[in-house]
Amino acid sequence: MNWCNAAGGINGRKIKFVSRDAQITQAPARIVDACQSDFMLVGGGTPLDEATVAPRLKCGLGTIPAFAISTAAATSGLSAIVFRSPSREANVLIMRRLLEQYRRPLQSIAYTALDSPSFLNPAEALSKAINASGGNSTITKVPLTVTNFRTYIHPLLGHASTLVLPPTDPVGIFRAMTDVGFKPDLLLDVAGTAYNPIVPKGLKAVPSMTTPYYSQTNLFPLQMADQNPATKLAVDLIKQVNPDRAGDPAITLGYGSWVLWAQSATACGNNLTVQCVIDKAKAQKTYDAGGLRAPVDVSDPLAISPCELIQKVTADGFVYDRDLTRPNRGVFNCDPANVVRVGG
Amino acid sequence: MNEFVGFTISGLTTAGIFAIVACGLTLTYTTTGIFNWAHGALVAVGAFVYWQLTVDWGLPVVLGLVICLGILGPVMGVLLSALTARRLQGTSETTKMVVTLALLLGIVAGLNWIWVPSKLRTFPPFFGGQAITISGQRIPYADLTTIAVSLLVAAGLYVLLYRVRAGVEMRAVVDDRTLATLNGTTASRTDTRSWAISATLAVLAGILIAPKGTLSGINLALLIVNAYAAAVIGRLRSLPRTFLGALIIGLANDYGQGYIGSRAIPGQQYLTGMIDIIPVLVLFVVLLLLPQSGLRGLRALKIREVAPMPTWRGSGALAVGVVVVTLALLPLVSPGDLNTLTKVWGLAIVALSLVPLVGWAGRLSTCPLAFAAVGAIVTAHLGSTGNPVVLVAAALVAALVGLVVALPALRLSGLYLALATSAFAVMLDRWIFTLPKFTAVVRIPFTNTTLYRRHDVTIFQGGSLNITRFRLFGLDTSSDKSFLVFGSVVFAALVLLLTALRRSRYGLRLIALRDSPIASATLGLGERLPTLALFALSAALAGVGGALFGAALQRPSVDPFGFFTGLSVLLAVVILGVTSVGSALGAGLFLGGPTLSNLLPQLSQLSATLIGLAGIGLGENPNGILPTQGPKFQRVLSVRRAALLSGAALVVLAYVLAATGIVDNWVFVGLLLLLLLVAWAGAATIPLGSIPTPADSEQVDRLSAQPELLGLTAPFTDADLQVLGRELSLPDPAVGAVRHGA
Repeated sequence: MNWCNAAGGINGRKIKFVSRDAQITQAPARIVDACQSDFMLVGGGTPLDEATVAPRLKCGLGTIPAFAISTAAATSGLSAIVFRSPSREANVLIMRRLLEQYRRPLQSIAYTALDSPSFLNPAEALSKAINASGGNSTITKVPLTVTNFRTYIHPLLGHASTLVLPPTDPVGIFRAMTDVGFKPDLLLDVAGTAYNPIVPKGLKAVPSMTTPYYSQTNLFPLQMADQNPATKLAVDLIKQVNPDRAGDPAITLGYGSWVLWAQSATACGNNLTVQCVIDKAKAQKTYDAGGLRAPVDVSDPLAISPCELIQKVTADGFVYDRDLTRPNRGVFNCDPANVVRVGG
Repeated sequence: MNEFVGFTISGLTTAGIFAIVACGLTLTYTTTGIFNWAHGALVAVGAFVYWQLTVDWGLPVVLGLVICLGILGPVMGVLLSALTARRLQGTSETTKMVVTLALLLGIVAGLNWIWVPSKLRTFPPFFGGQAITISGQRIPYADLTTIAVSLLVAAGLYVLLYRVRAGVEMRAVVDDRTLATLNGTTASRTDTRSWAISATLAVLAGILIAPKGTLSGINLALLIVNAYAAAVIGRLRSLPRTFLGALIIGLANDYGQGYIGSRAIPGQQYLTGMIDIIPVLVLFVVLLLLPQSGLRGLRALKIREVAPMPTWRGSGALAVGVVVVTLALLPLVSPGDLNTLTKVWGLAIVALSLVPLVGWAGRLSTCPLAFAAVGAIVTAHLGSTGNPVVLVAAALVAALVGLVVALPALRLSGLYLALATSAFAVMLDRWIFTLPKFTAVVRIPFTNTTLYRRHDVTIFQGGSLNITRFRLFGLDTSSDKSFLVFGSVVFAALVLLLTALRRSRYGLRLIALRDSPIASATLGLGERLPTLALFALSAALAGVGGALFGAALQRPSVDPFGFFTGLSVLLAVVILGVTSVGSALGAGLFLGGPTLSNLLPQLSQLSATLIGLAGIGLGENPNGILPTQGPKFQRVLSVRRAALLSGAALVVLAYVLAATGIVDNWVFVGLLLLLLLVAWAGAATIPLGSIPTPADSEQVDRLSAQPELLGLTAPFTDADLQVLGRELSLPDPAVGAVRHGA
């Protein structure tokens, strides 16, 4: 915010930053607050976002959130979404590439998914996408509160050669795998959720986990920030306010929506209305946040970008795998054949 | 076969940890009569301190073990014994439970303050994760250690209790405290010793369980709750049976997860929620099946709690007051806070449902929000038009569910009822409410007549349950303002209903049943029907509260109705004084209102810590805040009329300043709190001798009959007791004296 204001703001107007803490269940109340004074909601998000749609539309508050969890929020009016969770498509670049090297292990994939609709629905869609791309995956549901994963891992012995981990702290699962002696040939992340600092930390905490681990993402890798001015700027800016978050790719999501908002608001000039900002944002068919992420079509909230890249996950961090990615647009592979349809 | 062996080893490890925890729990319950709900929090403290010493500071493992088991455990035990256990003697099960639950909240909040949860903390596995392999089955050394340690604990406890004088003294105190004291045993020292051993066992369990994943205070504390079932199988007395219980729970848990959780068996989608709560199911079944004599527990015949009779004047003032104050606040409150405040009345009514059940009848129920959820679900599924009649349906269905719980729970009381209702609440919110789509059919038994059939029913609709706010005589309550007023009217009406109930013969009967079930039975007062009716009434009230709470949220998920939120309601209402209807209002405001989060937004742990501290204080003053502090304000108002007038004038002035925008809303709230503080401080300056009898329009000077005929031709009235109290110069029961039968 300070950086943008120091650079002249939006057509000379300064941005005033207001933070509202939804505390998970207070989101509708904070939306009502925001309705009183705020121009738009930008760069945030809340897990129970379905409840925010009605109060937001009631007062005509526009939003460009960092992420959307529910389809209702993703497709709601007066909103433009950059990062997709609910979608009718999936990107299977990682499957296409790994099938070349790991065809047999990918015929028996155990997809562990947290047993809650907001986790289970995307997991089922991605499992379907894996099967559509030539793999064979079966969902194993794991309760949200489970701490002893051993009884869920044990039945996979001799039945699964590849494991997809749920988007949670992996230490318990790694420990359970070591305890029961489950050594799959491959650890796989199709959703991009393993691109999170907790995963290398988990590998470091359980040194016996030496299984090859591959993850795909549509974000430009933070560890390569020196090669990309936008990412470098994002990392430098976050270091000034919260150095601990400088290695967390999730910061890219917030920046991605802020940049979209700033570009759209600037394009509106003197006609700075919510509708204009949303219209300008949605007019972007190949928005890449200045290079922070792979291009995405903002006009279609349920479409997925064909561009992804593949990284190897290690105890020391993430390593961009150029050979597997075979980039054809910057660091990304944007082959349209990467996209498969998974639902309505 | 390999799989079976794997699940068995995993189950035995779980059982070992549960056994160590359950033994500690049993030890303190048998010696001091306190079921320590905070035992899981001690496990978490043990794990965190051990991590701090051996991982963060890099101390040798042996030194870490010595510090944790030799110093931390015993010191925590001694502190707990001194700070809480001794103060809880002579209090009801409710107070004991609330104090230890408050400790649980306070300790977990403290852990989160010291070891910020956002940082990942992991242990290197014991023995570097090495294992032995027997016929292809990998058995980690860590598992063998856990099993061996639990067996050593069993052997150690046996030697202590049967071969060592200190242990024999502990058993003697359990068998007969007075006799043991007469034989030269210092009971308090024995109590302290058992608390020290119990806390050390908790620390030991923490050290054993911590390396299994990433440290999390709340997860560790809750995981250990599963061990409580093992302690109940041991009837909270027998250590060998407790070990057997731990074995059953540990194996059932791991076999269930292993064989049902990950298999494609018919109906598996409906069972995945269940396998997560197997220990809770075992607890529920055990509570219902164990012989009755073992479950009666210690019925408190002499307790320090009193249940003062509400006056029509007081309740009327409260009822009118809530509506008038709500109307007065409407122009002041910001729209966002208004939206938050809509939740207050739903929660306050849920809290109100606990007043007759817990406050008057002493039936300790921990599942008010489970009934509230039933009310919300009924309202969502039937009330799409906003017809308020759906509130009646919500109350009826919730009452029916209340009866279903009450029937088996009739034979339970005190702690066992609390455990059974906890198990019921967890079953609903973790399993039943999250069931996937099913077909609902209501059929007349033994016939082919189907009354109701609906396909694709999902109870909470994956968090997208939609509750339409009500329309009443052409009035639409869809706006936050009108809904807030509607809620205040419903709350006020229910306050008056409960006042009538408490003043009726039925109300007196409930108090009698609470104070002495044996005496009540001797007098021919049946227990079953009043208790069943009470459960149904309480559940119906909670159902109405849930409907309003759900309508405030409009799209509720299952989380706001979860077991732990229900516990917060119980804690808040007991701390404020569960015998008084005013406590329900306070609980609603505290849990649903925006005050704390607005005044101190940075201190998210504050409300948990405040509840924790206030709860611990309850040991000293088991009647709660309102029944003991309320009369102090009355003193100020009756002795210092000028104080009343000037206070009222200041409130009006502050209101005008806030309404005209001269001062901020939160300055206004601050001024009101300051005034309350001044009035409270003022009460302390008034000498006790100058306190007149509380002005009560219904106060009478004469007894309703000749003293020798009182209670024979007609029951004692409250007025009789007041007259007798005055004439015999007995202290006012509302300020702490023991009084039974009122």
